[in-house]
Amino acid sequence: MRLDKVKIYGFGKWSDKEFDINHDYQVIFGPNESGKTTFLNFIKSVLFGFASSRGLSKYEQYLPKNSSEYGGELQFLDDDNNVWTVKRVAGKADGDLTIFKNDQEQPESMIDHITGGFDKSDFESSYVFDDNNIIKLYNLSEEQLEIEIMSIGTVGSKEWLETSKNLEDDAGEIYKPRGKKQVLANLLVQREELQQQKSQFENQQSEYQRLNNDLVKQQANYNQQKKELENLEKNLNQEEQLVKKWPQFEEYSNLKIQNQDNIKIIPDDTWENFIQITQEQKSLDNLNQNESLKLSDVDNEKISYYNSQKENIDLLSENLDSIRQQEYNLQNISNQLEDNKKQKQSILDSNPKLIESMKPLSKSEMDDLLKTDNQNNQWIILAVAAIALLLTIFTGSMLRIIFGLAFLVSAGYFGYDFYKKQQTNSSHVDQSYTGLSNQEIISMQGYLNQLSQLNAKNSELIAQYKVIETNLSEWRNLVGRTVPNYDSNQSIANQIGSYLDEIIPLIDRAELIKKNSESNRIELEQKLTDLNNKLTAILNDYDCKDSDEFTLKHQKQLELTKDIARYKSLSEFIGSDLEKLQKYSSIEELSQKYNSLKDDYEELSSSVNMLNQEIGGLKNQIDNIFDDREYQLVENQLKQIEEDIISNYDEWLSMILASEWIHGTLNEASENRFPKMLGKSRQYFNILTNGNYTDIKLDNKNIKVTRKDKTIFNAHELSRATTIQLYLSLRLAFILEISDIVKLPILIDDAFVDFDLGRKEVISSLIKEISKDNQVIYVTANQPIDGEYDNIIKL
Amino acid sequence: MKFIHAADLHLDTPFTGISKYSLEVQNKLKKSTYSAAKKIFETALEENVDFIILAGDVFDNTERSLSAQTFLNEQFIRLQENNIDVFIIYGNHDYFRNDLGILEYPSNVHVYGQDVETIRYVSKDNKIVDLTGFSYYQQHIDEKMIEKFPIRGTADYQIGILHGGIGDDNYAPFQISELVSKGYDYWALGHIHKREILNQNPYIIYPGDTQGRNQNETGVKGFYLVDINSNQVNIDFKESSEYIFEVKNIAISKDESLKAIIDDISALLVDDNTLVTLNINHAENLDEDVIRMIDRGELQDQFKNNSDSLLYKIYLNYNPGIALSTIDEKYWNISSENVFDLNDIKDLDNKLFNVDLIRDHINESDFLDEIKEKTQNIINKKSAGE
Repeated sequence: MRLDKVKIYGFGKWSDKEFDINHDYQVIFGPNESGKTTFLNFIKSVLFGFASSRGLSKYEQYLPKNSSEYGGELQFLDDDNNVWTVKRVAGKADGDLTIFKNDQEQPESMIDHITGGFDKSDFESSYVFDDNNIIKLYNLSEEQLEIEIMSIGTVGSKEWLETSKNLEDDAGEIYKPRGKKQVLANLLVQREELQQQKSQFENQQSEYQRLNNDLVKQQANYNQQKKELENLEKNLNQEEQLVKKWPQFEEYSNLKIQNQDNIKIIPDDTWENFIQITQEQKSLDNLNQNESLKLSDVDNEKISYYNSQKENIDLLSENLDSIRQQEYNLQNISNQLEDNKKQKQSILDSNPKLIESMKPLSKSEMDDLLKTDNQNNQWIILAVAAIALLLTIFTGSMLRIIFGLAFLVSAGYFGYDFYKKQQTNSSHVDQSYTGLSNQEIISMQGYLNQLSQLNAKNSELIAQYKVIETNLSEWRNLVGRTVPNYDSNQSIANQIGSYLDEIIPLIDRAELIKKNSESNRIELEQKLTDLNNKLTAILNDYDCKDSDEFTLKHQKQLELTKDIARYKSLSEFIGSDLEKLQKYSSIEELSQKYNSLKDDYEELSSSVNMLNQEIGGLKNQIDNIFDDREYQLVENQLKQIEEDIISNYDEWLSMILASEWIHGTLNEASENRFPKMLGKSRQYFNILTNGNYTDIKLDNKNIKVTRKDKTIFNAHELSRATTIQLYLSLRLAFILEISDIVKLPILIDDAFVDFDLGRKEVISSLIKEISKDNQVIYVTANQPIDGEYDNIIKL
Repeated sequence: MKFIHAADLHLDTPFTGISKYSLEVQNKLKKSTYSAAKKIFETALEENVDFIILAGDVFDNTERSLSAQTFLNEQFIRLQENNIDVFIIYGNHDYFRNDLGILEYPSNVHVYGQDVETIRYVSKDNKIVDLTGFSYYQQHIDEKMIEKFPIRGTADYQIGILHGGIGDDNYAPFQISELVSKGYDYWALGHIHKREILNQNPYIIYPGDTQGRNQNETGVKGFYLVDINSNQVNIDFKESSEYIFEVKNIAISKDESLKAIIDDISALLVDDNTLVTLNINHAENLDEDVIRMIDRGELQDQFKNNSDSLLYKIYLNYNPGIALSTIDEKYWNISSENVFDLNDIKDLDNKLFNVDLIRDHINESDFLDEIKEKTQNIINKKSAGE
């Protein structure tokens, strides 16, 4: 494909400019500032996009100075004479691209059909030769130059190599085989530390098992020791018991109990029997003594008198109460008589005008006496009758009748009352009252009545007195005859009572004496003899002379029983410990044994306590096993670190691999392209070195050249100028190698100005040669020698 | 007859990358394996099932599982009070060691030994059920244990319990056809954390783990409630996960503002109790400052106070720039074959390969693919922006 026409709408200083480039080798000549670089930049811009307005590239924008449209078009002619138009005008970012094939618009991507996928920098590093990049070669180190040479075989290889280098550097930040500061190395160390930390945590299950085993073992120990301790405690308690029992044991041992087999023990019932017999004896003896008391002669005399007067005395005794009552009544009556007498006297004393002979007035006499005093009432009745008469005359018919009747009644009453008065005055009598006013007579009547009552009572009392007195005098006679030492001035009832009180116990005694007759006495003596026999039997039974000895014997026996009881109680108290106690000769020996046991006990007890604490600790530890927080923390950190390790490793590895990939690709490209390139480059190198070097070979990725004298050199052994010639040869050969894919012209921007004249000629003939295969556009400021080029565009 | 089939409870699993959340959320996450387990037991009580099958990896960490054991024991006693049995096998994670199983479980719990054995059970509806299984006594079992499982016997139903992977040499390898050929009514599998019904007649089921434990274990997690009635088997998946890991994607368009990006993310963080892993695609369109901000974790900080839907991780994915020129494409491909060689990677650094953690990581089956993806992403990033 060949660039045929350049149409500039507006770019830098140019507007609406058109260049026909009809040749495979087009020379464009223009002095400095005539626009050569602008022209080349225009071509690059249309192919690969306008430079952006940012950064350094803004100087490559070439916005049109006048108002014409920014951009333009390039026309290519392919081998089949199709016209390809690439048009780029102002638009978003790097401009709007349009592609036509013979006026047929093509998709944007068809640009690759022309550029082979190259971008601007690929194009510049392969197709563009200018002063700068040639001079740069001189300034490169040998190594860099070699890289430069080796990278010729691949598109954009230099940039890729740089990228690869960057990736290696970045990877180095993550990990270096011997580095210690890098992230991944750090993480690995951290992981190891965490693993170390984690291993400090015992395996939870085995820890649990270990502790649990310990626990079970210690628990068994504990149980056993606890059992032993319990036994020991029992023993200790026993010994303590022995120690406590020792005084009793000692007492027990000291109690000398006689052999009781030969002693006849007085049983309790025998003793009680003995007591009863002696008591009975005593009471019978007492009874005997009482009976010896006899009645005195006086008493006997009194009893015989009583017996002689028994009938009368019994009569008196029977009537004693009645007699006493009569005596009492008599006294009572005489007292009343005395009182009456006093009352009578006092009434008479208080009324001097009162005479005993005055008789009280009868009812009628009394009424008469009262009427003379009541005359005034008659006049009131008369006045009522008069008023009633007046009202009868002056009032109406009905009332008149009523008042008329009232007049008649009151008039009638007046008449009757008047008549009655007249009669009373006429019957007034009795001489004893003479000289006394009516008023006095009336007031005297109450006393007179009293007096007459008192007189009546008196008569009655006197009659009663007489009856009682008659009765009593008979009794008095009887008492006088019967009761000794009768005193007529005294109450007979009392005298009878006194006598009876004296005589009756006497009679009772006489009766009792009579009862205890001779036969009773014999019975009593018989009883006494029986008792004596019983007693003697008992005494004989126990070889005792008398009761005292028996009692003494019993007394002794009681004391012995007390000892036996004590002995028994001690024996009971000591119980089964007796044998154990007997093993010890002294309390000291026992105490010693007790104390040593106590020491053993305390020792074991503290051991048991320690075990118990240990068990508690184990249990606590076991509980702690279940609390996993710390472990979980480490575990989580570890997991996180491991993830970080993996992700860092992946990142590191993919960077390393990316770098390797890039290298691999470049090598692959070189290795594939170099052999093909070598043929052409050998030819070019030969031309450029004026036939001084005859061959270029690739030997294990190293380029070796052969001088015409057959000496073989490594690339870095060559002079700088020769190395650059080698570089140019290879680069040109590469362009031809890829020309089937990339269909772009070679742009030479005064690249070889510094070459000496001889070489310049050589290179220009080489370019001519190359232009047969790939179009070359040569831009120069140097005036070409006439006839040097077929086709020159002058700017 | 009803039973529950659960597996891979992984009690006590630690969670990473959660320190940025509130303590409450952290605690809830830490306890989530327990919460999920509790849901199993509660469902068992509610549904009055006959028994529960726990098909391995009940514990995540066998070194310190006492609290998990205590927890299980309490739950088992509750089940016993309600006449519900439990059939347990140990898996590769909690494979039996002498010091495991300190606490003695109640008598309704049947733990399988290392040899294949069949335990007979009579269901509440008087069906005879044979349950056949075995426990791991070491971390890896390369033997084809399935061959030791007996052919279906005379019981009304027979159930196989197996912790392992299809053709996975480390974990009691088996093939589906081998399970089917035993003639059982149900196969209760464990080990694979992703829920999967391998076969329908009979059912061969991985219930998956009961709670997602990292961003790779996405989606709702749970267990199966199985109802077998006159040879008809009905299964019902029950959710148990307290938190769900999700993966969400956003694509960045050219010149998209930070605010727009934050709004996009907010719109994704809507589901309750989710931990979202966010893929930001077309990261090459992000401003360099925004990328740095994301790398520093500042974008994530914007959402740290979310209580329902949590932003768990952010990944930036770059698309290749134009620089991968077509002329070099074949060389990229050739080179890739040389670079992504597992043995070379193992040999890359002995010190690192000797770290068990990294070695295990390298030996993971999808390691190479993932690392290739990551590497490609770096290349893309470099070619795009820098």
